Amino acid sequence: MQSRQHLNDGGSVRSKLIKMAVFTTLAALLSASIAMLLLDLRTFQRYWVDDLTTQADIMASVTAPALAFNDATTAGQQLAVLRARPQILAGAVYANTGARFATYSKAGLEQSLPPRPQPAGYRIENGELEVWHNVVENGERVGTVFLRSRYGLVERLLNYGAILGGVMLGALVIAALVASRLQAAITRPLEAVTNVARQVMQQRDFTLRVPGNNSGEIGVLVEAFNDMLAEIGRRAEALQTANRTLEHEMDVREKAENALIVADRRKDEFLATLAHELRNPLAPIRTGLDILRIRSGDAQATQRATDIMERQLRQMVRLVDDLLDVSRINTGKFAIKMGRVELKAVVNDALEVVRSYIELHGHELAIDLPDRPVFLHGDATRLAQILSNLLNNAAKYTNRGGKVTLGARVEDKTLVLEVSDTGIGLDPSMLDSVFEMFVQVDSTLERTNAGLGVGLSLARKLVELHGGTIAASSEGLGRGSRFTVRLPIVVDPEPLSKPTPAAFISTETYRILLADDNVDFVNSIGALLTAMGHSVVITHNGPDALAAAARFCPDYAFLDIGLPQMSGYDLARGIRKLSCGPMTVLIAVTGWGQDKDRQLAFEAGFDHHMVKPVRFEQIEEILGNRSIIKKLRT
Amino acid sequence: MIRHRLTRTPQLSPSSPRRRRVAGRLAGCLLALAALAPAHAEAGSSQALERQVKAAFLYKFLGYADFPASAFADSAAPVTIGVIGSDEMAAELGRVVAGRQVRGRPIVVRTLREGEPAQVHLLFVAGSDSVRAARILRSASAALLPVTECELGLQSGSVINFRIIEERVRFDVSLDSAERNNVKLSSRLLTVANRVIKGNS
Repeated sequence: MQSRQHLNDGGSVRSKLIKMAVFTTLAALLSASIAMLLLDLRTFQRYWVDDLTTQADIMASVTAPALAFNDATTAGQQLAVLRARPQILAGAVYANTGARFATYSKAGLEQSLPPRPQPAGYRIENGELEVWHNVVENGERVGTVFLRSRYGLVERLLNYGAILGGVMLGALVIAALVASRLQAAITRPLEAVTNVARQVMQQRDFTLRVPGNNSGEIGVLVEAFNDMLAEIGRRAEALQTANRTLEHEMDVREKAENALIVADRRKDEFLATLAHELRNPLAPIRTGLDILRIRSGDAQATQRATDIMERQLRQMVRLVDDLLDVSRINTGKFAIKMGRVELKAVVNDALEVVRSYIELHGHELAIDLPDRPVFLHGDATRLAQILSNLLNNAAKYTNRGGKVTLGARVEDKTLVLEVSDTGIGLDPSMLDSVFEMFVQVDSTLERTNAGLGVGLSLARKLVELHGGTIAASSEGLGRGSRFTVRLPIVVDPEPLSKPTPAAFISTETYRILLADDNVDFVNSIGALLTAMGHSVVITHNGPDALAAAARFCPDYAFLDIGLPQMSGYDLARGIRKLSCGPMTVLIAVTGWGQDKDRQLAFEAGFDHHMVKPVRFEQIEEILGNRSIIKKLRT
Repeated sequence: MIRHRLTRTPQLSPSSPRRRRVAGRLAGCLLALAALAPAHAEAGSSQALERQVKAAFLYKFLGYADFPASAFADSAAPVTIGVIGSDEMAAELGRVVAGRQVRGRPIVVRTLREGEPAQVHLLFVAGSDSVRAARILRSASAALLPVTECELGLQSGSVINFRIIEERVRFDVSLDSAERNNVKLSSRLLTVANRVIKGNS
């Protein structure tokens, strides 16, 4: 509607075009009319003069005999014929003497006639035309005729002007009508362009197009306009896309930044916690040492102190081990040794590690396992590590005297392990994030209860390496929590039942060589192994060890890498060169646990690599796996 | 016999000062005649004036008369006017036609005696005696355009007969006589004639 109004006002192309046509016509008509009028007036004047002159000529001819024969009456009668011409007002004939011979006046008119004749010719005065004409007879001028006529120039002008005005008016109306019909060819496409332009401005819709198939400049204009719209639309879209991309990038960056900030804070917390965790076991250990020094004679006190120290040490070792494992997993250098593993063995291994910790907290431990054996495909040590971590976690976050439950059941081809407790529980928002590195449940917890946030993270990664899943659930804070692990089951049973390590220990004894400059450590281990019935030779430097190996021909050799006089690597190479060397199982015992250290050890000929401090169970485990090692070597 | 033979030179234009003067005088005399003649004019001057007017008329008649081609010997032959019975008239005519032409022909005025063969184009018979005029006309049957000034001029066979009406010189015309003489008179002349007689009227 707006456009319609717009087009109807004075500024629109439509009205301009009509005006143009009308004014052009007006100008043309006006000039033509004026020219015609002037020409007509001139013609008119000439006509009137000619006419009256002719009339005078006729009169002269007619009245000539009357003049010649001096017959005024006849001349008067002849003049009276002028009645037939109403526009002639008066007439007169003058004799050659100059006397007025005969006169004529139009009826009802008093006309003053000139008393004397004047030279031939015409003059126009006061709207009257006067003509003087000589009367010539037989070559002689015999008199003069005078005629006076009405001169209707103004009348003529008015009449002619009125006709021209009427014609002009009509022509203008026709011109306006024609123009208003013809202008549509120009204004309609223009109007379409204008409307689309307005719509585009209002709706920001660049897909609009001006319809129609025009030719000529208008067509070019419409086409150019449409092309322009398309171009603008493309650019606007490109701009929007770029904006969106930028926004998305900003978002990602912001998130990354936030993640970095969070990670940074966690790192700080982690460092604080780590220091605390590492420091914590040291106090009881120190106390234990004090007890040993002061009350070395009291066997019971010594025993208790040793227990405490062992527990704390184990906890510490465990912590450091976890850290190393996480580090390896994160750097992609962690490998698990897959094999067929029985659930009960795994559970036993795990319990071996955590039982004392659970008991220390005064928790009740309940275990519910399937009766028939369940075989998993995985790394026994790591699977045990998963369970021990979960159990350790449960014990840690449960107030003294709580209950820790380990349940296992088979669902289809999946083993479901559940570790639940009656502890502090989890907030629903934390159920997923507890598995993240360095995340602790609640920073307001007592420091003694706080952990590094490594255990669960490691557990999840290990579960994932075994193709399983882990999830946490809780009924709320203070209502305990439950960790559920699902692992795939290997259905077909193993043909040979795997003997438990205990079976090996009880049935077989070995020759064992120990080489370490840490006299206390090596002696204590040696004493234990001797107690188990093995033959043990202890040396404290490389050459002694090599000599002992040559003489003793051991089944196992536990060699410290940092031996005096000869490095563990050289010693290993030396032993391998002995006659009985290839059959010996070489175990490197070192404080260096990096992959490159392992690599060096294996290159030197070691079969195993143990990182100090070495738990006795590890030694037992290695001794238990001898048959497998042998099989591999042969 | 006085014979006026005045050949008009071609150089003499119709509007020469002298002629205009003559014409002016004539018109003035006519006017005077019309206004003054009845009361004050002497008989002599009145007769002279009448004669002058008639002489002028006679000359002008030639302009309105169309003579047959056989009336002229050749294309340059003059038009002759014969006058019988008035030497004064002949003299007056001689003055009037002096230097004038009619349709490119010179005009010759001749004074004739009664019984003289009248081989002229226009014959003026002076005198108011109708019997005499009739006698002269009968004897001068060769005259093509006889003009009289008597009571019964037209009955005597004259074509134009002068009359004095209201103290003005007027004339009557007999078309039958003109036709008999094979002379054609202009209708314009007839418009100013006092009477035009045709047939037995």
